[in-house]
Amino acid sequence: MDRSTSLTVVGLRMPSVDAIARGTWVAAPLLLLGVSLRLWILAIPDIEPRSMTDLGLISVLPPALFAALGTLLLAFFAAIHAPRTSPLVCFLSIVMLILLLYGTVPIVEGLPRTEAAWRHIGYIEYITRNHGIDPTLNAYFNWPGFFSGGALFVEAAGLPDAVQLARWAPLAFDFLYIGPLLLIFRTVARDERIAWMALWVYFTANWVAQDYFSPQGFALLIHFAIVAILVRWFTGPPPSWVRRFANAAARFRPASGDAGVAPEADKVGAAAVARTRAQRMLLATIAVLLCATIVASHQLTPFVTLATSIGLVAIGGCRLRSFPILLSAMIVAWVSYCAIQFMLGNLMPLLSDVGRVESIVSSNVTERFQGSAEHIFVNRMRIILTLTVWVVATLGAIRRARAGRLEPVPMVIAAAPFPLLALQAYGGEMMLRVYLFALPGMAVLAVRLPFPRQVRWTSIWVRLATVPVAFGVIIAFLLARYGNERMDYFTHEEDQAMRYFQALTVNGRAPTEHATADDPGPLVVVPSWDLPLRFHRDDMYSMMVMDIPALRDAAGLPAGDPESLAALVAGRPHDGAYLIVTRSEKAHLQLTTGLSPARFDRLVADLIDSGEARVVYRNRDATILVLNEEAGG
Amino acid sequence: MKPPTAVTLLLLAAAGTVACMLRFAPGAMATTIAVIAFFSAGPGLAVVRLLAIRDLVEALTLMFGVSLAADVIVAEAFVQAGAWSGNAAAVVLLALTVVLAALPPFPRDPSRGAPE
Repeated sequence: MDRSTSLTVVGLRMPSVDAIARGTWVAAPLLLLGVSLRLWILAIPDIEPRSMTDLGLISVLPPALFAALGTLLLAFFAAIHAPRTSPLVCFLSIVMLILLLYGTVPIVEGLPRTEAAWRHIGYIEYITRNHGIDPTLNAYFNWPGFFSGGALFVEAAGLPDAVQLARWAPLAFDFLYIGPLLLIFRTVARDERIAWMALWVYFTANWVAQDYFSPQGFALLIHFAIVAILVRWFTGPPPSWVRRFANAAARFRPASGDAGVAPEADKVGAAAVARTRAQRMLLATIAVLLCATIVASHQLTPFVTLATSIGLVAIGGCRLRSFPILLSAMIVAWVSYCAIQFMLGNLMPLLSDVGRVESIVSSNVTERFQGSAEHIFVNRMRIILTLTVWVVATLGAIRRARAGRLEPVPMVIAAAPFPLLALQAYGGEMMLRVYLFALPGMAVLAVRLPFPRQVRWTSIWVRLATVPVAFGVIIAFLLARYGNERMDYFTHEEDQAMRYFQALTVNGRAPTEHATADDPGPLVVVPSWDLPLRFHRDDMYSMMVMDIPALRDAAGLPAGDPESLAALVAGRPHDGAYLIVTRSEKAHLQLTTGLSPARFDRLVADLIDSGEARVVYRNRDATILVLNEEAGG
Repeated sequence: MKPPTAVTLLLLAAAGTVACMLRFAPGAMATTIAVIAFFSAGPGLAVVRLLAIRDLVEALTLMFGVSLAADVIVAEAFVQAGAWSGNAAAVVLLALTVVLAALPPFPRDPSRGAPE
């Protein structure tokens, strides 16, 4: 009897063997996904962020969460291993992966993580309070697109501030990345399973954590959408030089087959290429509209989009040859008109980095290897994960080319951000940004290492290695992404202390009032900038970060010497001087410099004992002291 | 004249509902959810309808991308003009969505699926 033939038993028509097998390949992963979800829900209450060590979040994750991740991995493996891939099961697996890796933190911590997210909330608050921006006040207001959009959501939705938007932003951004990334992967890959696996690789290797409530997190979404539009609807035949290169690469292939460039699109993608003229015009207009959004929102992302689009045009992956020219014109127009305030003051420092690749790499890598031993281990893990992804992707690209199928589009997406390394250190973050922008291309190429042609589970080694290797990558991701979580997260007690401080000092002042030379506002002295203060009336006070090397050096500016602190603030005009010491500041300094938290407890105690300061607010995570007027100016 | 499609009716109803909620229940939880949902998807859905896109991944990518881009550009225009008003920007976006929803979609390419 044929496997596809159904059997009739006692008048009931039984499903065929093939139908049962197909159903099992869908039902089994769905069951595993259900188990994974249940384990995750059970694990959440057992996560106590306060108990974190310098290894970060992974140090407080209960066994149930690792079991949830393992079960999810098995579900995804089963879905990919199935004779016929179920897009629904693959999609649910990716959704579950994002929930576990990116949704756990906002649920457990209850507040936005990272100080920068709180600062961005403050810029939105500025717009809603002042009904506009002042580009001279802050560099961010030279690219205010994201903050303007945030202000729209806050004001129209009737939110008191953007705190809840910022809390859920990483989860929302990562869900939104699925669409354009899947579109890119489906278009460049020949097998839909490659697309799903590349998506999995992207989300388990994206340790850079720029998907927080930030212009770059938002601009990344728009950048992906632009690239998706270009490769999906405007792809063309590769030019002759790409074909010649592909043929040359294929000469070294070990097996026979059709040499050449991989088709620009699979059967799903091919349908998208054919469009009417009106539709193509509207799609091109949309791409330009999206460019306008990133040009107005972020200073770096448009350059990556530009480099990617130039590369795509060069290899025939984009027929909109005028697109890079138009984008260049938009960047120049924005920089020379809307961002002129920033450029006037910063052009020379920006240009001074150009070509200094060695010092840029040094500031991005070597200078991060200081602090506690666990912190250094986390940074090492980041470097290892980064290099592993790059090496595996390179080998995947080579194997794919040797198999006679050069894939120029993901190679362009992966390579386009690297020239940025020669331009800017970007505050020591350029390597991170390059890794982030290159990751989609790298993810596709990395999947090509075990599957240079199609996804066939013929190799026993591939079968045996897939799940353990993928689980290892997840562990590395947890260490790399959340390794600094002890300093990146904020408690409700810290939030309450900041709100108390603002109520004490700046609330009640006129909405348009801000600190000036004549009316300097309160001076806030902090051991570290890592506290959730600047989300409200950021323009109303000035901050001064204490001299950390001096704090460490007993012979220098001693932490326990109130007179020295008085001298520190004496030179700065202020309307009341405050010292704020929080749990997150202590954690930041302990992680990055090895300075003991007890140092700051002693500083606070000595200041109070000497009568130079008095406590105005204290809870278990924050202490606010007002420094005596005699100590100030 | 062709009757309006379900997507057109959905967009018009959603725009009307959000406008009423902004006017009569500002700050309510339901308004917050409705506003965030509408401005994240509404303007883009109107554009996707014009393109007559059938593929779900294509449609969702354009829907969210275009919506958020439209939000930023409209809000940015108000900010750069020094006349920021969240409610005014919301009204402009609602009107834009309604206008786009009322436009006839592009005719589908009869040769769709064939290479050019």
